[in-house]
Amino acid sequence: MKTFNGQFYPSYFSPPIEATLLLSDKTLSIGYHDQAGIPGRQDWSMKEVQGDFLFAEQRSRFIQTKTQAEFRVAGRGAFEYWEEIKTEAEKSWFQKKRTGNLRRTVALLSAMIIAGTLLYFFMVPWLAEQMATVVSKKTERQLGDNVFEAMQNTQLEDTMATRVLNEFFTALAIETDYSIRITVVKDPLVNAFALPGGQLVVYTGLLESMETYPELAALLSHEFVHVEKRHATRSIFRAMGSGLFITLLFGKSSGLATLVIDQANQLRTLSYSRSLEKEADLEGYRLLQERGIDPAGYEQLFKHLKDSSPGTAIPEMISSHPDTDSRIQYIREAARGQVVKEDSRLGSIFAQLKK
Amino acid sequence: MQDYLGVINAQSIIGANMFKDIFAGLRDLIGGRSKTYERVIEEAKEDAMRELTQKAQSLGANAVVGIDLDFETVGASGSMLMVIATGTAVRI
Repeated sequence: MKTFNGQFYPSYFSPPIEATLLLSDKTLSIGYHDQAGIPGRQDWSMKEVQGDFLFAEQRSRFIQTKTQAEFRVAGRGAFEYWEEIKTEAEKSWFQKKRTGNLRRTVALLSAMIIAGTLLYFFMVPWLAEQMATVVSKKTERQLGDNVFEAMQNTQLEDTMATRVLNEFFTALAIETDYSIRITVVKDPLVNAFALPGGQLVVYTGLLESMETYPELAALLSHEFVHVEKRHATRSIFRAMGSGLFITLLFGKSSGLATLVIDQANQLRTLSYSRSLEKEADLEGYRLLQERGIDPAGYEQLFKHLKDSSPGTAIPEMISSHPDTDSRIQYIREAARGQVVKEDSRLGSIFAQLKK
Repeated sequence: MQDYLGVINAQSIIGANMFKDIFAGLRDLIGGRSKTYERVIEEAKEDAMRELTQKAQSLGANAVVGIDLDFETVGASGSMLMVIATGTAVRI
């Protein structure tokens, strides 16, 4: 952008007026006073201007092609500058002058994107998992207890069912370093979950729908695997890890970018959650198998879950749990040829619950 | 100085795009000059100065004196850049 003083000829025959000229890559502006002395301005776009250098007059000349108005500036400087910005403006975007080497920038950029993706999808989750495994059981327990205590204020415990379920779990004789504490909450919800460190929470709504003891064994073994395999702790660490990574990379800048990434992250977390659920199903099933308990307990359990939420079949991709039908499917496959024996002790404990 | 034609100002507010923000964020992480943001500032400054000159021309000035450039960030997360150019339009 440069400014010049010169003569403005509003039309071909009009006498020159002393005026100012602004040359920039977008427009060419002329400021002048008309015959009455009133100031005015004309803006010419780059496209409608022709420039040349009048050798005889030693003046640069710019002509507005539509109105034939002219502007003349003494010396060659204005014309040369105009040529310069014009050639720059006419170049396509990838030929434009840049501070760096385009090829190098693109290479660097792709390398960074690849490295970032690798870090985000493999390195960060791996590190988080490593960290989750070093967390002591005591810390896990504290973490779970904090959540549990926060919940306790709002929920009512069914002490009888709690006692029976704990007795049932002890009778299953599953070896573990965690002290498993089961709590039954009075709530019609058909749900149950595991907190880190060994707290299992079961809602009465789910218990009421159960008819046989293998179902309860299936539920408890499933939730137990969540605890034993540190699923909750691992999920928390993964979420923290990727959160930290995103914050480092994007800072608190641009809300839109974080929005997009949050959504992608959500889907990734769900897929991870589905894989954990499947692991809990299969590992839990293995525990039943070792004890000769009927794997149909799992099928029944899944059916109760499905019945409790009729008409809310959401696509598997956006769900935290695998699709009920596919859960039944893979348990059936695993259970092929399974020998079942009746366990009267578990049966009698379960019967107490149904009284 | 023949005439003082008054104080004029012009402003330009430019948002660096999402990708530029990411690069600047990386630059923040590894250190060094952020050319991407520098170019955005340069562009905003050019725009403000051009507008200031055009305003001066409209007033019939042939010079602007005492120009002051002000740089600010605006927008919810400070991701947009504002340049205000202020000066006095004069005839000399």
